[in-house]
Amino acid sequence: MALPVLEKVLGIAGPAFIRRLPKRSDWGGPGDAIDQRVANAVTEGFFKRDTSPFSLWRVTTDEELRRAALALNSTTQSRSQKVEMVAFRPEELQQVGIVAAAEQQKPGNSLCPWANRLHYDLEATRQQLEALCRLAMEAGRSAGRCTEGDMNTVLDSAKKEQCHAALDHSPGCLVEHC
Amino acid sequence: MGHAIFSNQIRQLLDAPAARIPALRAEAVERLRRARDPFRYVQTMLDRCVARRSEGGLDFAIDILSQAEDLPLEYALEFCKEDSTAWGKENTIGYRPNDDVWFVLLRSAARARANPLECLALMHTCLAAGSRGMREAVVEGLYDLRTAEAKQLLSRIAAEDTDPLIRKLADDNLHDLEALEQ
Repeated sequence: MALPVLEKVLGIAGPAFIRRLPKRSDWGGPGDAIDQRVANAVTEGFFKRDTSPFSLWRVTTDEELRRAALALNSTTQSRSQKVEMVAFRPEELQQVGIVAAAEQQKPGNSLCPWANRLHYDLEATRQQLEALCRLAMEAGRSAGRCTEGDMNTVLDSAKKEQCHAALDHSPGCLVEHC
Repeated sequence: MGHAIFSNQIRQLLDAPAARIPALRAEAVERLRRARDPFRYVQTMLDRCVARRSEGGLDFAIDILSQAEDLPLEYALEFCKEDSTAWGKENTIGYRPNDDVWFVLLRSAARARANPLECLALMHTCLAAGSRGMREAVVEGLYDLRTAEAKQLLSRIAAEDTDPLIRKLADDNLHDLEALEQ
């Protein structure tokens, strides 16, 4: 199986900010009433105990997407389980007033130091998140996913690099700048 | 005492740095396996993890419970007795906290592989619920179960469910399973 490609997975070309969805239905479907869909996405995909700032990963290349996806799985029992996510364009964040500058770049909580540098903690109000989700939904954005088959391929490739997110005990990652 | 320690372990797990998570999870699994009153432990874990769903809480709960052999299915069968009385028949897409509980229970029971036939029967029962979240839990549970009967039911849902999103999820899961077999 081929390695996952950013545009195919997310439905948009990079750069994009991705957020993992606990469940794919959190993003709803195109046939759903838009107000209910936005409310569900914000309540279930962002809120609950999670309060601002919100965790997102900025990916520009296929490699960044793969490493971010593996980073998201690095603390789960099965590192090849599928990853459901939604993507936002930087200009969409800007349009609703969410600032994603260098100051918001904070290391992610994953086992991959390389991918952790792609992580941002973004401050946002519920109104801003609603506007953001509405923008993406009205642009026809679907939930993206790396399938288990995709993740198996990513994992195999990362094991050869001795990636910390892929191995329980890596003797040292071979990836440049990790 | 054991329950309080377990409860604290789950709290720590949800806030732990990545490097600590595998060890904390293994400790929680061990404590759950040894529990004299495991249902109480499961309920505590579900309460905590569902409340933190947007921070990976559902995955944490599935990872722990799926290593507890028969327990997820036994708990699910008991939980079904009380929860099924609140299931509506009408299709709804609004959030229902117990949908997340079912998402964890059905996936854990399927991954634990303790009793695939009984697990499948429970999933059939859960399909009667009107909420999208419940039927999504079934679709994901069937994906994890991976038996021929589970694939048959996925195929039926992909063709017949009244909700286009559930049909799409079932269809995607079927394709993903086929791709894994190639």
